[in-house]
Amino acid sequence: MTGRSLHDALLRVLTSARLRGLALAGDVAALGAEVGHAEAAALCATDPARLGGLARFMGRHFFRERIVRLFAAGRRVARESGRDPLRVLEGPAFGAFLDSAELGSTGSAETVARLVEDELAPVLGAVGWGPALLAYEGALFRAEAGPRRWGTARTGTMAVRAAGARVLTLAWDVTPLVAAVRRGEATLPAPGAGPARLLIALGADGRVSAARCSDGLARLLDALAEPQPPAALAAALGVPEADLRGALEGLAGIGAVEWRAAAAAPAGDSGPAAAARELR
Amino acid sequence: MAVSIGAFYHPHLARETLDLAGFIEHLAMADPPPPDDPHFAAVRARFVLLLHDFLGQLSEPVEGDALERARRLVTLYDPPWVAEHLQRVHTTAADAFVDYVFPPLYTADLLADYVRHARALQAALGRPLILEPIPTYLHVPAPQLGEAAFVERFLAESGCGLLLDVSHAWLSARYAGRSARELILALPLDRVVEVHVAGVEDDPDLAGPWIGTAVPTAELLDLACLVAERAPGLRAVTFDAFSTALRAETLRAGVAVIRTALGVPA
Repeated sequence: MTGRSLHDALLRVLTSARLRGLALAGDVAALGAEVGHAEAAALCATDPARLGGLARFMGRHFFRERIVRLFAAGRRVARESGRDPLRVLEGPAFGAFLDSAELGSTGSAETVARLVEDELAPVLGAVGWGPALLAYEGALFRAEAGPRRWGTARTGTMAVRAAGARVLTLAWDVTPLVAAVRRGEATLPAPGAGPARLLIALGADGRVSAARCSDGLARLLDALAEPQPPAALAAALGVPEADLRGALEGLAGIGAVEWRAAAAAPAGDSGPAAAARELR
Repeated sequence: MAVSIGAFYHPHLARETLDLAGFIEHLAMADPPPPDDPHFAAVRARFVLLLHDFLGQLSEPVEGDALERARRLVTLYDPPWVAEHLQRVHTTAADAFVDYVFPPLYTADLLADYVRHARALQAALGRPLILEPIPTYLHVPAPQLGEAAFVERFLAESGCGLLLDVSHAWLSARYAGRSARELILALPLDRVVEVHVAGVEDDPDLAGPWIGTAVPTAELLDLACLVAERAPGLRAVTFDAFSTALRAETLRAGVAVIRTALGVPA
């Protein structure tokens, strides 16, 4: 056991209710199977009240920060009606959830997103663009719950749409409203009616981005459902390779596209030719 | 050398902060300003900016995109030094993470990693690097060097400076059942470049005090004075409150009590 391996195990136990349950139960064998026996023995010997308390503290902070950041506009509008979604953090449902939370998981994000949406819905449901705002910020919140890739280099020769990238179509364009809230503007612009299609992606550092999704971009993302070599894809599409590579790099920068090794390339009908057919 | 008194930059308090220029001399930047922050140009012109962002946990190398981001922030702020937390918030595989400062275990293997990566980061950025220890709430029964010994060896071997948050030390001492003065005096105070002073509030999950957006208590201010009297390299004291919930009155009051305690009039 090293300090690193023990600290890794500690972080896993703090962020996973399932593993923490094993530690709190003193089940060295079961926890050891997941984090190493010596590490499990040390963690099972920690003060259970402090371990549990610290995990709850971390969990509450984890989701508070995300509600503030990712439901910023909905929260701002709701607070003007005297309702702050942060109060879900003090409610019994969230308190119970904390003891089963897996921080960073899509399942836990879904649970908290629904709690917040239930809190916001009575206020936002009364405004024409409210449901679109709720859908947009809920999508940001859920998208953020993906894996982090700190410090990993962008390598590989095959481009593929990231698993967490999603396209969202809204009945109202609420993005100027959200941007104004983030700037702290006192007066908020009224969202425009009409469909807005957005690409939402999670960057390697955990930053969630939203970008306008044109028809061409939507088709490109569809084509990238399977790994594609840029040169062949550009040729199949009849676009300059440099332009396509630039677009792919931009998409990779916001986390919508990932690079993979060529060995990951699929065979058969999912290569560039199939992608080109899809794009046409 | 004169000691600068400052606070953290909060975009939602930008106007009030600009009005306090002079009273607040420097601003620690915990997050980059929003691209469309209408006040940042004026802020940058009127305050010394200190880089205090999350650059990366130094148990791992800071490289690639993270290093490029750090370089961009150095260019943007032109800080006299760069601060990072002595923390570990994600696993080696980055598959589990907390979203809050969290101390490493103070072991010899992690010490070697922190030293190596801190030296590399300092060289890559071309600015002095100072590290801020994080309070320990949970004690893991495993052989460790102890916080003071780890910090002393880390500073000696890396060439970094110390950012000492006296409130962090107070919390570490409290949750270890020790005297905060004793813990602080065991640290290499001759390596202190910056001091943070935060307020504390009770936290229900921790069943005790933790860092809050409150004005520092007299006890914490006394600890700041204790350090200031023993830190010949001290350049800055920062009111450590960073929250979207921070109010302008608290910002002003926090800086004011620090000025009064240290006898540094505006």
